Amino acid sequence: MEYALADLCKRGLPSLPAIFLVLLTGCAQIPLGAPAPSFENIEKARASRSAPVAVGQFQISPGVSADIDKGLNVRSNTVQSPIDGSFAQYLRQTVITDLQASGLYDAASPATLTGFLTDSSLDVPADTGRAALGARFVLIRAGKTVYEKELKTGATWESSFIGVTAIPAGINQYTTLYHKLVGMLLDDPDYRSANPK
Amino acid sequence: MNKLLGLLASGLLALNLTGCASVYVDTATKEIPVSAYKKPASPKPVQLVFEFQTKDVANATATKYLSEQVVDQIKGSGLFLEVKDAPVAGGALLNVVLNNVPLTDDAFGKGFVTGLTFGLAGSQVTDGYICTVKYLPTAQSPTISKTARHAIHTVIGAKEEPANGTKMENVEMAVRAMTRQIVSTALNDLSRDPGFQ
Repeated sequence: MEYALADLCKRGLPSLPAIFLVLLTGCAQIPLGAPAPSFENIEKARASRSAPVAVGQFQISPGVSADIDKGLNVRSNTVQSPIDGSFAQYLRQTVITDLQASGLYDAASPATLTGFLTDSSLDVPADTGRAALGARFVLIRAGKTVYEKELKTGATWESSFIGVTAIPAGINQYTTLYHKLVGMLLDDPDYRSANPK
Repeated sequence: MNKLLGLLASGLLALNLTGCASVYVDTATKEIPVSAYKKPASPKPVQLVFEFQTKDVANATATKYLSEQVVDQIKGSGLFLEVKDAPVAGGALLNVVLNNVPLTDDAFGKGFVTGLTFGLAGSQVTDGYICTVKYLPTAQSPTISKTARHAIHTVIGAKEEPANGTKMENVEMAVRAMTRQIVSTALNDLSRDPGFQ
């Protein structure tokens, strides 16, 4: 059966045409999808032989513009975190999600992992898209810092001229960096040795 | 912003831009009833991780959109004693990835899906889907991997209908039907692997 955008509204998908109006006109606020566990990170966690940790505060790193925590401008649209409007909190939730799925999250652990967002960017032009994410992770056990390191990751991809294709693709690339960053932490030999099981 | 945003990354975008389109689920991959699965003598609990990808990149929005359906389908498969999102006794882990890939005539030449219909020049866009199921019976055991393929055809305007397509009322119904059929196919293959029993 053929249908038009107006029909979609009547069928209970009211936001579908709204998306395209928004993407065509710009100026939308687009939230990231909620973090879901990463199979790759579960495998990394299993191999890490590291101990469960509690997850403490995550915040913007001192000296870094607070703007990078609040939103990303993508072709006149604003990409935001669904968690307190903060990408630092989105990273915290991604860490918790992956650690919980791996059996390595324990709110009562004597070791607490905290994080400081140092970089967050997403650029979706009509040729090559670029995204970057960075954070300094700090693991404290019994009041003593046993691990502290800044980790950075990024991605480049072929970006479409057409916004309705390029924007979702850019958001997916950017969102994937959160799991990549957590994976880098779990892979880091210094983290593993600082937090043995 | 929208449950379907994450899904509409390639061919399905076309219908929204034109405002008039019909959606067909390819008939080559059919739903396999639960009764056809080869049930294990002693089903084990399993931790399930589901991820939707767009062109090999995780799509958090689409993952959340389809997660409940996939979880319910696997719970109802009878292949597992219990399906959880956290680690289970025994360490069994099931990873289900549904990857939306662009299809071209070249893909047809490579036999992406046997019987897949192409050839409606200028009026049809086809989205391919690859479902990969990885099962680890224990943390130490080798991975059992199964793959199934499917497609959704979008025909713009009053053009000829694809021969191997079942017309769906809307995009959401097409995506949900495709997901149910492709996951059932992969689960059936998994159930028949000697390593699964």
